[in-house]
Parts: sequence; structure tokens; C-alpha cells
Amino acid sequence: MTKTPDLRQDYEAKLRQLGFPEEVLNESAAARDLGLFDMEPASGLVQRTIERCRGLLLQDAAPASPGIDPKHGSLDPLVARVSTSLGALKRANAEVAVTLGTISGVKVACTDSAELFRLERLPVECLATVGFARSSGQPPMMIVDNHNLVEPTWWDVDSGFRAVRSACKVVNTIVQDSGDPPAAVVMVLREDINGYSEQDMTAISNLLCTSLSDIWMIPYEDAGMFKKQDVIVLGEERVLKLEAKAQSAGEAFLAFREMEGTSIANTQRHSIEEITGRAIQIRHRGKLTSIAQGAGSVEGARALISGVMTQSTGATRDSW
Amino acid sequence: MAAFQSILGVFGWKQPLERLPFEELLGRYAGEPGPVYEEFVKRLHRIIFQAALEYLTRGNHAVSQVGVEEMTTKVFEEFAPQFASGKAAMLLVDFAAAVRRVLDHQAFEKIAYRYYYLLPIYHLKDDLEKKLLAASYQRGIRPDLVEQLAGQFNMPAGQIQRSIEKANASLKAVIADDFTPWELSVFTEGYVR
Repeated sequence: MTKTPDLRQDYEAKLRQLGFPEEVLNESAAARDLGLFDMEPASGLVQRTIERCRGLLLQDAAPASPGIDPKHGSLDPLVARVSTSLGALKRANAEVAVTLGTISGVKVACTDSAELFRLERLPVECLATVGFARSSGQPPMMIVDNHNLVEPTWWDVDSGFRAVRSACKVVNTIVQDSGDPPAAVVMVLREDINGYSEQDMTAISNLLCTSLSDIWMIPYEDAGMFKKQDVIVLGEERVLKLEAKAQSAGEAFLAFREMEGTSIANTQRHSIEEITGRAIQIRHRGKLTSIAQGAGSVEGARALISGVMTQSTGATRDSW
Repeated sequence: MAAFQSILGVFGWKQPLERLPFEELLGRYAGEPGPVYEEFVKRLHRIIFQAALEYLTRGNHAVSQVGVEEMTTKVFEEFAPQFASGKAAMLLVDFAAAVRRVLDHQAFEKIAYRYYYLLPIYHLKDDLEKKLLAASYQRGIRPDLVEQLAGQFNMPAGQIQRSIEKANASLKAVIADDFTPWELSVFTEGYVR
């Protein structure tokens, strides 16, 4: 139903006076325009839905999937073993979660439990990306490691980040054996080389020398939409996004917003792939590229980053 | 009030399911699975119906009442096997994933704010405020909202209006006091801030 502009403004002013949040009003206005309020569910829908779901609840529930979809075809014995172990781990996690939920009738407060939950869940989800890499030939994970949002040292000191990195290493080892591409990591650099501390450089140098991922670096100015985002894409449908600098590694680990869906993951994968075209590759298939041979020392890492920063326009990239 | 309810709890009194925050619903699942899932469906079916309507309309499918209801039910069917197996505080996030699997992310985005605001709404202490805001978010914020709620709750429109204003103020306090920014970020995918 289309309203005249004046009438619509009147409605919206009236609703705003009731104190509804702006984003909710905007969402509702858009839904009204789409006609989403023009049809109402029938009164029997709840009961019909309950009837259909009854047999699926409780003991009829399927065992938790490790995240490897059978539609991706047969898995080799190693991956199958990983899958089985992950399934068992995930089911155990679910049982713990139910117990915790039962105990915590009170609004559990939950910075600690949320962190614990994500800490135990994310590495499992990382490991489960092996199946996706095997079946699709794409990197199991794609990461935009934004140094402006996640400090390089956090990957070494925080248990959550460390767990994800360890899982990533396991995944890379498995896919490397089969010749599939490893995880892809694009580092978004800070604007100024002086913004990096000695500890930052040490962490970056260590990572560059030990990682099995394919790694790129891109100057801040060239990072486009990723200037203010840190993104992790797991497999074909899980996306984690951080859009603001947190005060600590623990806060950052919890502040990642999680999204799920093939379309959103594909979009992110495409955007990350696109940005690698403007970035400088530092590691490729387990080896440092020629320009990054000195990255094993702090001075070498600093020189490398400094060099990448000077390429921000891309004008002399080919000759570098 | 909380202390009084704790004392009543010793004598076996339980809060009615419709008053419980989402995070506490799963805690009651073992004893009363059917009613708990029914309460879950009651709270969310209307809003999922709207997402299903958007999804079908956008796809140029022939949109009928029956078709939209079928799609709505499919979302709940998809989620039923995992209903009691996740972390209680992540219930809405896990269900959102099911919505995105059966419908898609675009359909979910059309309801996302109203969907996730239901989490703090069910923390409101005042039952009337909780009912009015939950109904508002479930139905959608429409121009004739006050009149509709007046009919639904058999109350004068003026009283509904004052109660909603008060409820929205209480909701702001709940969001600020009952949750940390990190909890909001994780439990509502960052939609409620």
C-alpha cells in the first residue's frame, strides 16, 4: 500500500514518539513498503508447525554434523577420520552446552561463557573446512588480517586467536598433502610504518616464516572496503567480521560478528579474492616469494612492510 | 521480586514459559520439551512468516498464504533437531542460521533488527511492557500499531501508547544494564547495540 509522503511522515513521527529505535523503524518502514505486513499467518500455523516438528525434537535429532556436507562427495580416510572426531567433539560440546544452560537459569553472564563457547567452537569449525577445500578446490579459509583492528601480537597471546591459528595450520597441512590451495590471508597494513612496534614486527616476521597459508600484504590506502574490517571466511557459509578496534585480544575475539549463509560467504570470498589482485604476495604454496626472502628478521619484516607501503598506488608494483 | 520468586521456586513454583528470556527457555526443555518448543514457535512464527513472504515474493514464486506458511514451517523443521543442542545464549543466533539456510540472508536482513531486539525485550521485568513490545516487534511497527494492540489486549489506545513509551525506555535500560557490548555483539550478531 503506497502512502502519500506527508501521511507517511506523520505516521513515522507518531511511531518515533513512542520511542522505537531508529533502525527498527527503518526496517519496519521497508517491510511495509514491500507489503510484508499485508498478509497474516493463520491462527492454526503454530499448532501445525508444532505437529510437524514433534518427531524431529529430542531423541529423533540427527547427530551433529561436523560441518562437512555429504553432498561434497566422498572423503578420503584422513578427512573421514577428522570428520568423525569432529562430530564426536561437537556432540560432546553440545552436551556440555545443554548442561551449562540447565545450570544457568540466571542470565549467565556471559562474557566468560561466551568466550569459552566460541573458543571451543571456532577451531572445530575451522577444521571442518577441510571438506569444503577438498570438494571445491578453493582455500578452506580466507582471512583479512587487518593490523588496524587486530594487533599482530594478539594471534600469539590470546587463547582464542591461537586456537584458530593452530586449527588453520592443521587444515593447511591436510590440504597441502592433497595439492589443494591452503588458507588465503590478506594483511591490511597500518598507514604508517611507525605504527608498528618491535613486538608487532617480531610477530609478523614469525608468522611469515612459519605459516603454511598463502599470504598477501596490501597498503591501507588500497584496502577499499577492508580498511575497517577484519574478516574470516570459513568454508562455504560461515563469515566472522570485526568492524571496530577492541581494547584487548579477548574483547576482539568476542566482538567478531558471525554470519552464516552461502551467498554472504561467496560475496566475501569474491571480495577478498579481488583484493589479492591489488595486493603483494608474500607467501605462495608454502614458500616466501622472492621479494619476501628477508622477512625472517625483524629488520627484514620492517623493510618488507615499508616496501609494500610505498607501493600504495600500484604504479611501480611490477618493478618492485 | 526476584527474591520472592526464588522463595517460590523452593516450593516448586516455576515462571510461566511466556515470561522467560530466550536464554532460559532451554533450561526448561528437559522437563517440558513440547511446551518449550511451542513457546519458541509462538514467539517467532509471525516474524519468520514475514521473512518467508519476502523470500517468496522476491523469487517471483506464486505467493499464497499456504505457500508462505509452508515455508515458515520448513524453517522451524530445519531447526527442530538442533533446538536443545546448542548454547542457551546462542539460541537466536543458531535459529538465524537456520532461517538463512532455508530462506536466505537477504530475507533474514528484512527482519533482523526486530528479530534480535526480542532478546532484550524478554528481559523486561514488567509483564505488560514485555507483552506489548514483543507483540509490536513480532507484528512489525505499523502506522496503526497502537490501535491493533488496543484490540489485541483489550485496552484503551491511550494506555497502550503510554505503556509502549514506558516500555521502550525500559528496554534501553535493559540493553545498557543487562548485557555487555560483547554479549550483544555475540548473542545478536551485532544488530542490537
